[in-house]
Amino acid sequence: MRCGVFLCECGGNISGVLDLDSLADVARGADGIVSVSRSQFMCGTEGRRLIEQAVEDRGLDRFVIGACSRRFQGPTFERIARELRLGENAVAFANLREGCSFVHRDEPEKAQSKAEKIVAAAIARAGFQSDLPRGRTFLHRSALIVGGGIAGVAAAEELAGAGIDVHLVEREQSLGGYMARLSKTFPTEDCAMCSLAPQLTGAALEPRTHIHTLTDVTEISGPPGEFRVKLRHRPRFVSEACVGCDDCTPVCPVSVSSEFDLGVAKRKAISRPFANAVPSLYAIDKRGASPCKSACPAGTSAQGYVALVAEGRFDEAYGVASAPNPFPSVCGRICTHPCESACARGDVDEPIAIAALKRFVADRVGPEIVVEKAPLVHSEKVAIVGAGPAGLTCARDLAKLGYQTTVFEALPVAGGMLKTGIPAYRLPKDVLGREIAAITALGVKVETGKRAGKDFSIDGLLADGYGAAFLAVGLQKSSEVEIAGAELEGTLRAVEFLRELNLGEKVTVGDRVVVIGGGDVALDAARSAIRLQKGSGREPDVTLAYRRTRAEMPALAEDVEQALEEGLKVEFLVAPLKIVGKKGHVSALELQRCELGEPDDSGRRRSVPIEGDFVEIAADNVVLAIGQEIVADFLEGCEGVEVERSQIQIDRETLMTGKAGVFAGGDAAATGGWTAIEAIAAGSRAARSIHNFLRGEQLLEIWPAKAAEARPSDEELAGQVVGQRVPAPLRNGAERRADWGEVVGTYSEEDAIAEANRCLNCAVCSECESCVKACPAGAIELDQTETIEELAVGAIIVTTGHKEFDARRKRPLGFGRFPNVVTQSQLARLLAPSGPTAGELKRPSDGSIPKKIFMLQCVGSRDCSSSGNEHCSAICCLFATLHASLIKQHDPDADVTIGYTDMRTPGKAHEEYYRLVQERGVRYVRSRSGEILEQPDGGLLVRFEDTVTGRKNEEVFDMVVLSAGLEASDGTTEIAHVAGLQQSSAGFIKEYHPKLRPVDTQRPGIFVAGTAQGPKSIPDTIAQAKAAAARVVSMLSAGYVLTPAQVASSDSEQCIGCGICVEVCPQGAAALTVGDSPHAVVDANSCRGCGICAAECPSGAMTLGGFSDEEILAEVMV
Amino acid sequence: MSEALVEEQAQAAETEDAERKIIGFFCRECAYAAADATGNARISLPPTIRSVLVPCTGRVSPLHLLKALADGADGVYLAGCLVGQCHYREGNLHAIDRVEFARALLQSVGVEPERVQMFTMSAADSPKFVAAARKMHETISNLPPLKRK
Amino acid sequence: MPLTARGEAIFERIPNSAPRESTGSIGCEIVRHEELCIGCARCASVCPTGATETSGTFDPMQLFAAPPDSRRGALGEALRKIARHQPSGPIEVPGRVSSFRSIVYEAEKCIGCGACARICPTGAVEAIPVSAAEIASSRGGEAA
Repeated sequence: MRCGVFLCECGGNISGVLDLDSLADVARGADGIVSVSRSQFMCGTEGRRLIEQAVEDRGLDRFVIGACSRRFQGPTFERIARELRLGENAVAFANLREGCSFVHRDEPEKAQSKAEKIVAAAIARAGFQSDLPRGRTFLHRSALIVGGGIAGVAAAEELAGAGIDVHLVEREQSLGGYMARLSKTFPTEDCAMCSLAPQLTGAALEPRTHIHTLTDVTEISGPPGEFRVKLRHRPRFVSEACVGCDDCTPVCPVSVSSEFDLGVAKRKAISRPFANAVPSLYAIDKRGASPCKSACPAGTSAQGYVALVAEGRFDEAYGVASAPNPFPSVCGRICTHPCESACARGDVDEPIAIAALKRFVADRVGPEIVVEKAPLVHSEKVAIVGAGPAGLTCARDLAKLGYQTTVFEALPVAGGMLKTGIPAYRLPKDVLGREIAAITALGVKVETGKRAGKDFSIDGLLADGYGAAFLAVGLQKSSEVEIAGAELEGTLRAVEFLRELNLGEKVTVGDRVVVIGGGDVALDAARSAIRLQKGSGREPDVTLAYRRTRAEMPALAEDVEQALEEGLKVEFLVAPLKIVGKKGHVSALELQRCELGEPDDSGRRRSVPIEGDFVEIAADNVVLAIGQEIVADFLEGCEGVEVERSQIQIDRETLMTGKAGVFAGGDAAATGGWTAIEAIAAGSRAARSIHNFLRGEQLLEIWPAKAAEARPSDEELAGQVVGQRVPAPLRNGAERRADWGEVVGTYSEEDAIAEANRCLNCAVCSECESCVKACPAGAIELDQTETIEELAVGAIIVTTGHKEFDARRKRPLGFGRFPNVVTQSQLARLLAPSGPTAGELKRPSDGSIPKKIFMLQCVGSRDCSSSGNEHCSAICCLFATLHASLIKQHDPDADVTIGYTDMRTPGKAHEEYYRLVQERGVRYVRSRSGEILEQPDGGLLVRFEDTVTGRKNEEVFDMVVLSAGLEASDGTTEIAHVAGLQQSSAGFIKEYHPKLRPVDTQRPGIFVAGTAQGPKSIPDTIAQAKAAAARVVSMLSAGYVLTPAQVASSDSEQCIGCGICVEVCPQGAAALTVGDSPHAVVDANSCRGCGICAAECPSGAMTLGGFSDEEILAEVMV
Repeated sequence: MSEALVEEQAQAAETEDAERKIIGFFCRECAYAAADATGNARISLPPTIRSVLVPCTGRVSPLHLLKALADGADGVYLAGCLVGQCHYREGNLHAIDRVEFARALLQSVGVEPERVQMFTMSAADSPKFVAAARKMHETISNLPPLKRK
Repeated sequence: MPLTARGEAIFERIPNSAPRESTGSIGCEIVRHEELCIGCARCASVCPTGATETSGTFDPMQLFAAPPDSRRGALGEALRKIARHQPSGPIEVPGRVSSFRSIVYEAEKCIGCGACARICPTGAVEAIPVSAAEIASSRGGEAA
């Protein structure tokens, strides 16, 4: 090597302790040294000249600098080496100052011998230093700004001005961030929105700035200059056609707490946070499908009509309830209501009485509806076999689609099981009749007394010109059961028994009746029997014999309750053995006692007979209610349709049978449970499927996509006040069993509204579609879905802002418990002229004007013991002073006290402002209250000790305002994970160097600005944002960037492919090649230069640029 | 350095009150910064200690530690960032384990394990840097010079 | 020729103790050359039976046995220079020290699949296939 040594006097700092001449002599004697010189300041122009000269004259290929720590002037000399074309790794450093002369001033001899070793070590190291290869990355001239508050917008402005494309990403529905929520700003008391709005408009108008709201950044990869970013755009459900007319919010029935107003006001499911929102579009908060909607087989938006009932909008509620279901009055009475089982309110107290509310609305509005005949659009005719809920629903939907539909019904009346299975005390006939009439009024023809397979055939219908047929024949026969004595007179089958009863035929029962079964059919039979006995002047004696216990009964709980109230006797855990007869007639029922055993396939515990344990019940009638079967007459003249185990075989997707154009659904071809609502849902699906079939293309979704279920969080549920369901009127059991009148009554209007108001609005937007109807621009798009976008950008600025410390964590202060304890941010909303109270300060509890207000500082700041936030939040002293000033100016009689720890007012004009506000009469008391107590009238007792005078105060205030500290926002933590950024305490993004690089992060190319980096005021935020923008501009101006020198690299010849480097790299920058002899490769862009891999490498193939083993060990010169 | 000098130093090292030599590997982000701060404050340090700059203590392997001892140091120590604050994420965690390993190796061959130590500190903590340096100096001074074959 | 435990078990079940001659074998004999081992533990990661496992201890003698131009050898050289006596026994290896893992091999668990040998980057593990003929002859039988 041809190495030069340059010794620096450092203006006496070094030369005052060390003998540089002697050092120079020693250096001259070392191998490879061809030049030695000294200078007063090597870092100055003279020093630089010396180096240049020596490189030229003496042909240096490297040099040693004996001066201050390489951490200070290292980059200076590396740059000189680079500019002299030696490469920046051509310089080695001897730390003669901080490492020697400064620390050994009192031992100059020892310092001297140490200095000799230091220089010798540097020379030895230089011998091993060689040029380091650098790669080039092209830089995209664009930037991503994460966070659309004032910091993001201010940075975007600069970047756009520099000709750099900006993608400004914001997770809320509008730009503005925290500043948009403020009323005024200190110290000038300017209106915050007046300052902010022009900035937002500017961003919107700037063609280089692409604004993405309701968007999250989900992935960042790649090197600086070429970051690959993935954005997730969440659906707004409102298109760009929105003109902001606000016709939608008055009709939206759902109100939830407003995030923009920080909880002091409510907003609707559709909303816009403030008038100058950018973009100015509204957005719908739709969290998915409410549990009730998810549970309903027909997808009824129960939340929708419940919300409308809560607002007294019964007509609209009826519209929502009846859209998927033409039998709301019926279902409101007899549905198994899976919606109520799923209702989230059930986790608080009791589920919403959804069915009862539906009944209320349908009973009230239904009779007033005038149904017009539906216009015929298509030429095809559709035949439906069976006028039950499945068939009639299908008919209605087809009629609405414009088809001529004829329903063939074997019985003399329409209604199916609704008519023939359910007795009048549960479902009055006129109610059913009304809803059936509404269907026929559409133009649907119902031909009764026509039995398929006998009076006509399916094949015949199709030949006759019907384009398609829907078999909704139900299960019209009781299952046969193997039991001795079943042929005796007096043995009744429940399905047939109920049918005869409901068709008005004369039916009698004996004095003692036993019903075998546990479902609703069994109960209907039993309760009908009670009424028949009572009706003929006898005391009811009906016993239900069920093989399991009450808990396993499939019947609806309320039906069982009502039956017991009517005097039904029940024998549990008994199985029928034999029907005993006398003279050919039933006289008793012999049963075997059972116990519960292991669960069977369905999960229900088996009924296990107990050997030798029998019981006999005297009976005149035994009613068998143990299941239903299909009556397969219709198969006659219906080639291609198969029935297996009482179910018509269908394609589950299309509901089509094996015969083209013939569909089936309902009890006879169930795709869910055997209930009315399932049948109704099946009828609707069949209509859509038939429509697709007839039109020859998939126009309608047969099974509509289900959105994910949205339930309130456990926290939200825990915050609810526990109450109870409003009970519906129920007639007295003993009285009601004497007649066939309806057992359950309907809600009064007040009760219905009260019950509906218990709803938690789980999905927020309930898809009631009131806004769709109200929007004049047709801008509502409820079927929008989220989209993913990928971008490439050159640099990233993180401006994700902060959040307020959750003051509920300081329980003794009463935030969240006492309504009149608020935070400064909430107070800002209450004082803002565009806020929920139009700028009038009103007490949350009663709306009165507060006269006496206490502000408590340092809540969640400067506080290691309880909140864990040690830092001072920088702005709260001034924030409180500002609000105190505004209150006093508005109401000079108001008494405002600020309990402070210290008054921190750095910055321009802030101390002066503090003084001014004191002169306005705001009282400042140096104190730190630990507890606030609520008075009965909502007032707040505060004890505060004035630490200046020592006086203890105890006063009652109308309102208390907590100056809650600043913490990193949730978005800041998320982006830190996505981008791999370090966070400091309280979660703020860690800047690369607190003094010298305040807006850089640990990751090159990613910068931070604003309160995401730490608490600060608005002017400081804007200054940092502009600084970050300047960093981006200077970074991107070069057009390309060099990969760093200090990266790991592996010699593929030496590498043995053990894979240890891959394991230990914290960045995942090392990988093994695939193939026969794998070896390690390092991605220079991901490598951070720590050297862990090089230290672990067992073969020595891995090295770190500038810090190879040879270089390090050469410096260990003892 | 010249052969004669090496030989002379080696001989000098044989005597009990010979000057001890300690090598310190300091990470550039924290410990070396603390060292520079110490220097700027003109605080006196024992001249037995020679510093070697590494970007991160994670760069230093047991080989470097033992070779320093084999090449003439009586003691060697690592100074890096505080646990959880390594500028390169986890380098100092590796360093801590390697120092422990090196100490176990030394102990297994009868050499005092306290000749190898690990310290952590923040860049601003000059007092901690000084304390580490002085502690190391004291420890090593109380041990005999390390003889090598 | 020693068989692995699995090999023995298979051998026992074969009637007449006369395995057919084939190029396939009942299992490999595993031979470890500890001085070449660098402790990367890939053998342990592929072993299907756990016959090869990493142990949490390391024997410093391995440093002295390693080739002098290897990294382990260099470390051994440095240690030898300052050692006051031979290593007293195995030492604990802290979790993050990757390249000094000792490997423990238990022949009873080994099925002789040879995966360890195939993946070893230094050749510290050798798998020597045992031919059926060799086994047969060593047991006094004949190859079928």
